[in-house]
Amino acid sequence: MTDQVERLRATLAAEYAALYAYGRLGVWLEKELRPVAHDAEAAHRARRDALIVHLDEIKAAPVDPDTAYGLPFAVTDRDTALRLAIQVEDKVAATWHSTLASTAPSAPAPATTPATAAPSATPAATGSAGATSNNTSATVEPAVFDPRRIAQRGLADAAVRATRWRKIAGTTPLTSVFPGR
Amino acid sequence: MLDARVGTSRRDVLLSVAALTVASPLLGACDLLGKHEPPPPDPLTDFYTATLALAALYDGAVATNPQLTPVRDAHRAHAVALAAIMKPTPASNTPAAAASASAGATPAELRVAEQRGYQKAIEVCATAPANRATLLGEIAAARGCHLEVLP
Repeated sequence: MTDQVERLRATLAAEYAALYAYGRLGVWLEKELRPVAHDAEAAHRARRDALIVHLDEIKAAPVDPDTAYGLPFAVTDRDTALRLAIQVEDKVAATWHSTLASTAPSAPAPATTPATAAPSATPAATGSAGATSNNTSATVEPAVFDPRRIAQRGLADAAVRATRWRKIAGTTPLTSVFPGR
Repeated sequence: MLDARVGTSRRDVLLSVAALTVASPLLGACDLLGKHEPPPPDPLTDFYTATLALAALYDGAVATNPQLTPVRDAHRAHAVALAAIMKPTPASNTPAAAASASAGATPAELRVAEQRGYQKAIEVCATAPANRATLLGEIAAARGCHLEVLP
């Protein structure tokens, strides 16, 4: 349990850092891509809030956000903004991946639940061919914090967003064989 | 001399009976007495077979769309990784997988198959033991990414 709490705290820190990064990179994206960044930011905010509530419920102090995060490189244009978005999502995927390894099995779910819907939200952007998502279901957090399902969703959603940003940036390979590693 | 030989013989018989009494269950367990009970299939067997079938579905599509090669190869790598943690280790291929190696699935068919595969991976990951959850979560995430890049 303690190990899982530490991993959840690390994931919370990564979600905070992602929110900070999106706040910095969005301004460098063209208008058509900003909804993609806004959707990603909203997803990170939802996960951050879910983590804070869960850690509070289990009497584990959540980590506080840093007052300022050091970006890994200067964000000065569209290219560096996209590179940061990819890096942020890869980092978040890695922390959820680590959390997943510490979780106990969930109870079998009913036939159709939000946890089995297609990953990640559909970006609202339509002006850029690379920004159009092929997925159709919005991210919906389970009503009860189930560490296994939350972690697998967190991993999948971040990996999908990283792929989406790679597609927009024209970076290859688009996908990882084992996301989160 | 004679007494000694008789004594030895009797002891030998008793030892033999005792040895057989002890050894029979062991020999049975070792399947040396003809009793054969195959180990139960690994719980991931169906998922493994479906993963092979998913990879095979891409074989025909790759011929006309080489950009799908990394996706097909990812499914193959997932099958290899699954086989490495399964007990007993599955055969390297199955009739179901071979049969589904069709000439060319359409993009729509690939999307449907990938979506089903994603949902199945999520479902299997959710209830798997902790030591298997990570790999299954990776596979689910990879399939989600495939949906993002499919035409």
